[in-house]
Formats: sequence, structure tokens, C-alpha cells
Amino acid sequence: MIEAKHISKSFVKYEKEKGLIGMIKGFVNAKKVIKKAVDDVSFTIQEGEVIGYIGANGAGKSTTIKMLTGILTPTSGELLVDGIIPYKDRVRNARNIGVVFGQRTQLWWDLPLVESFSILKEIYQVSDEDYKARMEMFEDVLQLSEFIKSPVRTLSLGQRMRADIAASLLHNPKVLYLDEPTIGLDVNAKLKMRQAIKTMNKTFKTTVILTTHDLDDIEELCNRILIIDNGKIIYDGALSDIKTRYGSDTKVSFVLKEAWTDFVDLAHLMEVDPKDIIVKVDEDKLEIGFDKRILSVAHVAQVIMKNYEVTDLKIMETDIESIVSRIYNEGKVNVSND
Amino acid sequence: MFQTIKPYWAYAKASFTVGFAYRLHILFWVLSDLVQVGVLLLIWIAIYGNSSSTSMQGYTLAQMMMYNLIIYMTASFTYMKPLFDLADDHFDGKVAMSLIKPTKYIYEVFFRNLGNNFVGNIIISLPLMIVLSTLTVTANHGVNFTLGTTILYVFSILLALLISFFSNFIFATMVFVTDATFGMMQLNEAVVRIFSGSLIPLSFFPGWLKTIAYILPYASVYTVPTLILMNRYTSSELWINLGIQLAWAIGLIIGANLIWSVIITKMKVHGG
Amino acid sequence: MKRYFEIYLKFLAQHLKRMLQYRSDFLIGAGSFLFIQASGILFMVLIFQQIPDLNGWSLTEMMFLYGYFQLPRGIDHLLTDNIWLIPTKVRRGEIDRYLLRPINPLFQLVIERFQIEAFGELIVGVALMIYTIPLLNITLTFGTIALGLLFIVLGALIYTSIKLITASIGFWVINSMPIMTTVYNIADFSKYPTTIFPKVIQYTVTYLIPFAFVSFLPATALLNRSNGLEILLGSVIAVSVLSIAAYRLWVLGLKSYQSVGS
Repeated sequence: MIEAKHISKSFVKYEKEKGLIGMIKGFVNAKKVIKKAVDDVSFTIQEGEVIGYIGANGAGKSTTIKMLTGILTPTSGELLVDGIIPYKDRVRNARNIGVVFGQRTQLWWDLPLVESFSILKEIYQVSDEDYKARMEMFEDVLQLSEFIKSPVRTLSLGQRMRADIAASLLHNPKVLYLDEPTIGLDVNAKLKMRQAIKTMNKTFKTTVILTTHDLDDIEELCNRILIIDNGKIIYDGALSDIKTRYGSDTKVSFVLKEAWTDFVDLAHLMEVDPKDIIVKVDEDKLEIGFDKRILSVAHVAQVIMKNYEVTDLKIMETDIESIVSRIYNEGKVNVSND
Repeated sequence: MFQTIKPYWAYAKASFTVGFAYRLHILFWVLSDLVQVGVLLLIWIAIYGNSSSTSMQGYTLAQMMMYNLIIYMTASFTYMKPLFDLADDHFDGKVAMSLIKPTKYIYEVFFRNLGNNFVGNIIISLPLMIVLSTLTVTANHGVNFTLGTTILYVFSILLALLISFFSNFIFATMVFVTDATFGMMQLNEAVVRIFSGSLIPLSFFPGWLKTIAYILPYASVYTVPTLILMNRYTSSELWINLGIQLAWAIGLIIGANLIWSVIITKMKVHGG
Repeated sequence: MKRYFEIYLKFLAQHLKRMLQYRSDFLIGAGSFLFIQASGILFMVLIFQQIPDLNGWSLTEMMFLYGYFQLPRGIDHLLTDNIWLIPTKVRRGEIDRYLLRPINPLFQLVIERFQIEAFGELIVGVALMIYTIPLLNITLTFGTIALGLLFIVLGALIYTSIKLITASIGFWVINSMPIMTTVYNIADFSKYPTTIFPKVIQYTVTYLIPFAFVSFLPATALLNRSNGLEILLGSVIAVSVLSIAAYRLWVLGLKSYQSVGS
């Protein structure tokens, strides 16, 4: 369905110095800086897959999505969505896709929601039967009738997102792009959103590409993960793989009564191989990273608290940022070993 | 005294800095205003061309052109549009926030506008002043410039600035409270344009229109400084008009503060 | 094509609905426009107390010209005001949404706004026409009315094209708003007979940025001061050249937007 071959996107930025003098200087002459937002990215996505696209802010997620949706033209590389080049054949591509941008609505601000749908029906040339069926499904899953007559600007964030997702699916797009769709939503709204996506994917084999920081979104919806960092894809694999490899990363951080000066062999204390724990010290803060399947949180806590006076303790499960940095570091290590 | 002004000065500087950020923007801003003035001057040339006498209502063509240039320069010196600040700030909830800060809101807006004003000055008034100074020396413009009137012009401008700001502030609060719109702003601009003397010198007005003009404060903002600089007042007229300006300035400052404190009290009760 | 028409009707219905809802806003807006126009008329009346005529144009003829000037401008203002927002939308990345839908982006942008206040301009224009036409010995034949209306439509298209050209510059320049205002202010020259201005201005306003074809020249035709068909030809040429140029520039701008991002 989607084929990306060595896609790159560079931007030119003009740098101006700070302060009043810098501003007047910038008046006359500003420095050019080239930033590569997406660097030689390649992947293939089959119809019906639900992809989680993860990366830190500024890593290149949005830029990739913009190229896939045809808003941005790549600096180099080839891109095909359902056999169409998005930025060349914009209109044909647009008929095939649905987009939800978390921060901005695609709907018309002042119009009642139902009117927005009616207009979208015209724009995408949705047949009467399809329209009816779709609206019924939305009602079932998203309960839009509560606010369907209100202008979009009066809706709460949760309502607006539900509306946006319905709007993006109205014409049964082959590909659905979601850019941070659950950000700022309450649990209920999140559940409804995910349900709508799941239903469409199951019924129509809609291909879904989802960028998010929410691990639960990924858990619930995605079968495959792409991680992008600094413009490059550093991981492309099944969700189950990631969970197996990194999902049990845990960190426990302790605040000790006194700064830790004892360079005691903690691994030995805990009766594990030194490579199984990562120890970080900062004066009176001690952080121990480990794999939950090898060591239990209880054991780690016990050992430390038995040997030191602990005033505070925090358990941190794995999160996207640490998975990403973990994967990135591994990538770095692999490179330097060559 | 400087200590009190210091925090406000920061606002002025901030506005000024933002203004210089875009180069072409500024260039065309100047051009757009130049076109407007240009159209006006050319129209007057055509009008005088069709007149049998060389002067109309006491103005020769040269004097009329100087009038237009000077009043335009005066307008840019006294440009204060607090409505945008008020509307924007309210939208961002900044009004409520600024009630907590130690600086008084009205003066905060004043200095912010002063910063904007300064940008406008450099951009528009500077070229105008250069043009005017050259004309003063080279052209036969028929205006009797003196050092004394020039100094008084500066005073007059300062008063005009205050009048301009505070009258606009009062108007802005009305609009803000009644939640009226862009339309009101346009209306206000149209009224000011007519009764300030910028459309046409007030001496062209029929009696009843002139009376209305003299009741409103706008003449004090544009016409008075302009006529002072052009030395068209007798000495008694001069001091009377300066006095009227002073009275307006004081009255409007008091009025604005009063109205604002009423609104603030209402806001505190209703929670914005 | 039919699709576009139906979409437009739906938007129009919504705009009108909203106008009825916010009646007072609309009335104030239209009212203030009337007042602004009144100042222009006041200026003319006061001037004509000092001079007998302006290069052969009487006060009544001037008022006819002033009124006629409002009509194409009013229509352009009514229907395509959203073009003014193009530079802002480019800066804020708000063009994206138009590119994501399978219909013409410019169409989407324009139909989102229906500037009802422009009715103020139209009312002033029509009122002045009604007042001055009987005083000017213009015989209203079917031909003259048709010609007049045609000129108004062509005039509006000239305005829109010029507006689109200056707005599209906003794809490359950070804020082309001042450029737009400058050019729009040049249109003020055609409120008056272009013959009163120096040749340079006449040339600019007739051939370079053809605002003269919007209202002045058509007005001279209607007042039987010039050949209507010649002016019509000129208008058609102006509209063709400008609209093609404008649309091409817009498309170019979109291409640039897609390569540079927002």
C-alpha cells in the first residue's frame, strides 16, 4: 500500500543573532542553515497494517506524515501511496486518505458539525447509502448526536477529536493518518477514538499510521512500530518484538540520606551479573536500571534499603523516550563496533 | 520617577524590537502610506488647478500640500491603537493576569503603544521629516516656520499623544464591554478622520459641522499641533488651543482611569 | 462542476444563517461602512463648494463615478475577502488543510468567507446611482444596463486578480499584507477621473495595474464620454491577462509552500 524509498527532506533556515544589533544585522544579511528533517527513510507498509510511528519531538515524524499526505514534497527519494505519488497527484491521493491532526481541526470552525459532514459528503462524493451507514457507525462508537448540531468552535477537545476522526473516516479512506490524536483527551474519549479506528481497520482493512507519545495507544492499536530519531529510522519491527526486547526495562531511583561514596559492587550484592544492571549516581540520588524479567523490583529495593538509609523511592516503568534512547544508543554501539 | 517608569519601559522596548523583525514588511508599509499621501496631494493639485483663485479658505496650494504632509506626520507621531491590545489581551486572559502584576494595566498598554508608536515614527515620520525639511529650505511653500512654534509643536504633540491614547482607550473599553466588533473600530476611524482635520482642513466645514468638530477631542490631536507648526494661529488662539489640549488630556486621563476601575470592579465581581 | 456549485451553496446558506444570528454585528458593520463612504462624499461636496468643476467633471458626475466605484469593489469584497488572509495562513501552516482535500484549494479558501459588511458598499453605490442617473441624462436602455452590469463583473474580477497576485507574494515574502494594502490604495486613484492626474499615474492605473478599467473607464462609457465597445475590449483583455497571471502565481506559490513547508 505504501512504499517509501530513500526519502529525504531538507529545510533551509535563516539564523539571526540576538539583541538589537543582531536584528539590524539580520536586516541586511542572515546566515543560511540547512536542516535535514528526514534522512534517507525507507519502509513498506501493507494494506490493513496499523503502524505506530514514534519519535521524540522534532525527530521528523510530522515531516514524514506531511510527505505521505502530499502536503510536502520530498527533497529526494520515491514515495508511493496506493500506487499514487502523493505530491504529484494530489487530488487522487486526497480521495484515498483521511487525516487527523491532533492540534488542528480539519473541520469548519463556525459551521454546525452536521453541516461539516454534509459538505464533506459532497467533497468526497460519498453515496447516500454509504453516508448513512457511516454516520450510524459513528453514532454507535463515537456518540456524535450529543453535539452534532453545535458549531465546531463550541466543542470541547474530546468532542472535537471524535468529530475529527469521524470526518476523516466518512469517505472510507484507504489510508488513515493520525498525528497525535489522543493528546489531551480523557480516558473515555481515548477509548472511543481507539474503538473507531479498530472498527474501521477490521471492517474495511483501512491502513492506519499513527504518531503518538501514548504507549497505550500503541498497545491497543498497533501491530508494528517505526521509530524515527534525528530524521533516520532506527527501528522497524513488530510491536511484540519491542515488548520482548525492551518492555521490561525498569528503573528504580532512590534518594539516600547521605551522598553515596561507597563504590560497593551492587551487582554482587544483588547476586546478578554486572551487565544486568545500569547504575547511575548523582550525590544522594541513586538510580538502578534493570530488566524486570531478570531482577524483581522488590529484590532491588530490598537490597538497597537493607544496606543504605533511603528517604524516598520511585519506580519507573519503561517509556517511549527511554526506549528510543536505548535503541539509539544500541545503534551507536553497533556502528562503533564495526 | 525613573524607577517607576523602568518596568514600563521594558514593554516599550519589546514592542519596538518586534517591529524591526521583517524588512520588506516595513519597506512596503512606508510605500503604502506614501501612496495614500500621494493620492491626496495629487488630488489637491488637480482641485486647485480648477479653481479661479490661488487660495481656498485661506490656503494656497503650497500651503495645502504642507498641511497634508504635516498632518500626516502628526498622525503618525500620535498613533495609538489600544483597542487591539485590549481585545488581544482579553482573549488571552492577560487582562486578568495583569491585574495581579504591580504595574498598572493602563500604563502598561500606554508604554506598549509607545513602543509601537516609536517604530511607526522611525518608519514613517523620519522620511516625512526629511522631505519636509528639504521642502522648507528649497520650495516656496508659504509657511512661516519659526523656532518658537516648532518647540511648541513638540509640546503639542506630547499632549496630543495623551489625548489620542486615552480617548482611544475609553472607546476601546466601550467596545470591549459591549462586545461590539470590527465595525465599531471602522466607525471610530471614520469619525476621527473627518473631525480631526485629516480629511480636509476644518476651515472648509460649514458652521454646524465645525461646531461638532470643536466639541470632539480629535481636532486637538491633529489640527492643533499642525496649525501650531504652520504658524497659523494668532498668539491668543495659540495659547487657548494649547490650553484646550491640556484640558482634554487631563480630563481623558482621569476619565479613562475612572472607567477602567469601574470595569475592573465589575470583572472582579463577575470573574471576567 | 456541479459539485462545486452545490458546495458553494451549502456554505452560502451557512453564511447567511450566521448573518441572521449576528444581526447587530452585521448592521453595525454595514453601517460603519456607510459612514466611511459618507466621508468621501463629504469631501467631494466641500470641494465643489470651492470649484465649479474638476477637469470638466461636475459634482453630479463625480458622485456617479464614486457610486459606480463602489459596485465592483463591493462584489469583490463580498465574495473573495478571504484572499487577504493568504499570507497569514501561509505563515501559520493553515494551507495544509486545503491541500488534504480532493477539491481545488483556492476554491476552498475563498468560499469560507462571505463578507456581509460589503453590502454597505453596495448600498452606497446603488443609492448614488439611483440619485445621479436621473440628473445626468443617461438613457437606460437594455443595452446600457447590460453593459453596465458586465463592466461591474469584469471590474470585480480585476480587483480579485490583483488581490490574488499581491496575496500570493505572501508565499515567498513573510508578510505581504503591506504590499496588498499599497496596491489596493492605488485603486483609490480611480475614485476620481484619472484625467486629473499626471500622465505617469494615468499610465500606471490604466495599463500597469489597470484599476482604471474597473470603474473609471466604464463610467466614462456609460456617461457617453467614450466608446463603450473599446473600453469593453480593454476590460476583457485586462481580466484575461490578470486572472491567468494571478492563478498561475497562486499555483506557483502552492508549489513553493509544498517544498518549503510552513
